[in-house]
Amino acid sequence: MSIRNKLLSALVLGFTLIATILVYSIQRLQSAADDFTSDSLAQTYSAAWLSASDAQFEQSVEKFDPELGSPEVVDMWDPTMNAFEGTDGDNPLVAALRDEDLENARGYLDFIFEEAVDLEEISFVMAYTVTGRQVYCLSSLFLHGADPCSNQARPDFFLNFDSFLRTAITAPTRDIVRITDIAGQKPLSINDALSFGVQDADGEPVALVVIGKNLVDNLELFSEDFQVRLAVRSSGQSISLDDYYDDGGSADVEYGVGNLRRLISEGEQRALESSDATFSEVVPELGVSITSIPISNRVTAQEISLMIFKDQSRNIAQQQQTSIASYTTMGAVASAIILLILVLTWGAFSQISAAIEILRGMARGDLTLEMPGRNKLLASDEDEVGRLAETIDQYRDQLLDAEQQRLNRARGRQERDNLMFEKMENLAGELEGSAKDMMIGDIEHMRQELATGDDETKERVSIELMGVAFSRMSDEVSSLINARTEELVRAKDEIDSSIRYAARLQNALLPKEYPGDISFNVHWRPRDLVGGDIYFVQSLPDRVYIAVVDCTGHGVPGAFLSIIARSVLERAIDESYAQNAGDYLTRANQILMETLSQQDNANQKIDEGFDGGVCIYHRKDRRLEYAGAKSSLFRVSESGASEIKGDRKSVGSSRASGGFTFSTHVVENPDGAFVMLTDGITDVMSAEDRPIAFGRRRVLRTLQNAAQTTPVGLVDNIMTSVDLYRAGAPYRDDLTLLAFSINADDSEVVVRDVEER
Amino acid sequence: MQQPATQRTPLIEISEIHCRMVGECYPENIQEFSSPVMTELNKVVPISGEYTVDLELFYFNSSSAKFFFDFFEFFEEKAENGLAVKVNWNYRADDDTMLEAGEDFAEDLERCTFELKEVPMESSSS
Repeated sequence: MSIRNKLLSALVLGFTLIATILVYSIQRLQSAADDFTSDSLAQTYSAAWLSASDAQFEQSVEKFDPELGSPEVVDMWDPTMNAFEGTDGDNPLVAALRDEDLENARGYLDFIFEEAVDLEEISFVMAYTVTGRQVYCLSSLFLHGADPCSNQARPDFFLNFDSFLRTAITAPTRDIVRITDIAGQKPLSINDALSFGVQDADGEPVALVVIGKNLVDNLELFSEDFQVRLAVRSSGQSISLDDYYDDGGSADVEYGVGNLRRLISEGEQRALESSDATFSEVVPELGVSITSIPISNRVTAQEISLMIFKDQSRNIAQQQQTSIASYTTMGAVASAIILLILVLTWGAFSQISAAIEILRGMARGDLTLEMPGRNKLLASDEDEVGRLAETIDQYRDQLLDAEQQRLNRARGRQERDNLMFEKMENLAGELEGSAKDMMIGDIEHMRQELATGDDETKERVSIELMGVAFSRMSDEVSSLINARTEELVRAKDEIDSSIRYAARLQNALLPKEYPGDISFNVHWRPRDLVGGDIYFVQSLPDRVYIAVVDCTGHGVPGAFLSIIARSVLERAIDESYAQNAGDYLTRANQILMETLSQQDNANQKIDEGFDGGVCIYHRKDRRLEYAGAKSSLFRVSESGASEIKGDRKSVGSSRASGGFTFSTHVVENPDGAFVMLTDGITDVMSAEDRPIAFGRRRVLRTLQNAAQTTPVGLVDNIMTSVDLYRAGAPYRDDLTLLAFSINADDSEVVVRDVEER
Repeated sequence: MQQPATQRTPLIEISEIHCRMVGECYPENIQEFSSPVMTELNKVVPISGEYTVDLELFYFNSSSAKFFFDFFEFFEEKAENGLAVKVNWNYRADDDTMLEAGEDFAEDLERCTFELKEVPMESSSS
């Protein structure tokens, strides 16, 4: 059972219960009110009836009471007075009665009652002797029901006459007296009667007088006054006014009340069921109220009751109408509420059911379902269902986003996979044999895997594909790299051999032979296989040129420049005159400038050139000349080591213009040994964090302390010092160290092969 | 400008009042090294007032020597135009190469105040 049905069932059940309780309560209330109304009706009727009958009684019957009656009538019963004749003496009526002088007695009694009977103030008068003999009976001419004075009449007090007599004689007694026609011809006569005894002077009772007034008149009056129909119930039978008039109109409707017989029997039935036969009750089916009250204070309703039938059809109809209206309204309101709740719950639950369907759809992956539209009259976006719809929309949006992302990922993955496949196929195309088969097998396998399966599988396979592709490709790439490496090694070898060849070329440019009159020792060491350092020895018949230069840069560029420098040094030699060292260097500078066109490009400051020194030994004069460009000539002689500094300009430098003249230093008597070097020696750095260059001073000191002053010894000495100084630190530059000594004996020029380095 | 020392280039600091270099200088490509330094000097060195140049070099190759000529020429021109330039050439007592280099530069400088300063071996002016 769905919640909606449970809710509705509970609602209907609740309403039914409330309605039942309400109807029951209303009926109880109604019943109580009816009872109250009935009681008060009965009391009202009772009071009205009794007061009316009392008034009637007082007016018509009671004036004959020997004690309470009117004075002239009272006197008539006084045994000590003769009221009839207006004299003192014995009362003749009393006497006649005592003596059972019936004629006189009747005469006196007629005197008292005749007028009242004729005027119908009273209905009858009876007189009995104490023995029970009727001595007098007078009844009205217009009697209703049994005639009390007929032979067929049987008053009810006959049944227990003695006690009735005794009671009445003792004191006047008011009572209801019913007179039955034993022949059954006349209906029962019901009378309000006064019974009293007549006493003689001695107080002895002599007669009983019963004066009665038929209640029919009262009944008629009451009937008219209260617009009711009446019946008197007595001893199990009832009579109505109709019985007296005997016009057969009991079926007629009077005062809105018809079918009197039926009503009477209903009333009798109720009287039997009731405890005291006093009640008032509405009989809706008959449209009347039935009220039963005692007919007199002297009797109980059980004995004789007056039944009053009042037309209540209008009240009943009104009550019914009101009830129907109330129940209809109640039903309508309940139905409306149920309907409203039905509509609300229908709306809400159909939305909830729709939401459930949508969520199920989402679980299946169907995101197209939408919440149905809502009646804006009964719903708002703020209520529970509205919020539910909003939440579902948000959830769907998220799912759509996620789906979109998934699609994007899948697309990206597919592109990537396709690229991988393409690359792998390309690779496979380049392979042969089993490697090719293996790769094609991989591709096929991956394709099959990717064609089926869910996202997760595809993602996994795609990653596997990448891994396989990567491993295959890396295999291939590493073999390619190996191949490339081989190429590179080959290329390097080629370069190296080129450089080695260049080194051989550069070596070839070094002096191949030295003049025999000068001893040389050279340590030439390019940092790389080739370098910018070069030395130059040119022997002319009368002089020898010795140069040690350090071209700008090192390595191959330095080597190129050194070739130019060597050419320059060669071209600068002028045999035509006694060219001194300064002239020579100046000329070299000029040629270099021209060669490199540096004058034209001075602004660019291409400071290509060289530092270095040149010596010219003039054999004839035994004179050694020296010119230096940022370079020094060291001399070791008997007087110690000394330094001859050159100019502070470089050859080819923009600072040394073509017009610069290098100075010539002359060494007369050039004994001892001479050392020329490039800054590869002086710039050897110590192996400290903050290193210091070896410097010219250490060169001087080394020379100073040298035990062997031969060129070989000096070179060894200096190189040993330098190597100690640098303590394993690498050379920073090309270095050239050249030592020579001029042989003392002025022997002829001998050309000697240069020993290979 | 602030540039730490490398194996082949010195530490360089250049501001509006002060320029300082400490270390060795023998870059593979002197142009790459010198250009930014000269550009920076052109940018920050004022035309008047005072300016201090502190140099403590251990070694520079011949290419770098040419750079230092340009470097001093720049200050010489500045000094000529009214900037009071003070050059401190710091050298270690044992380093006659640098002393001589300093002496060489000093010869070329007329307008700048050039002072050769011997510093202890473990000078730590870094």
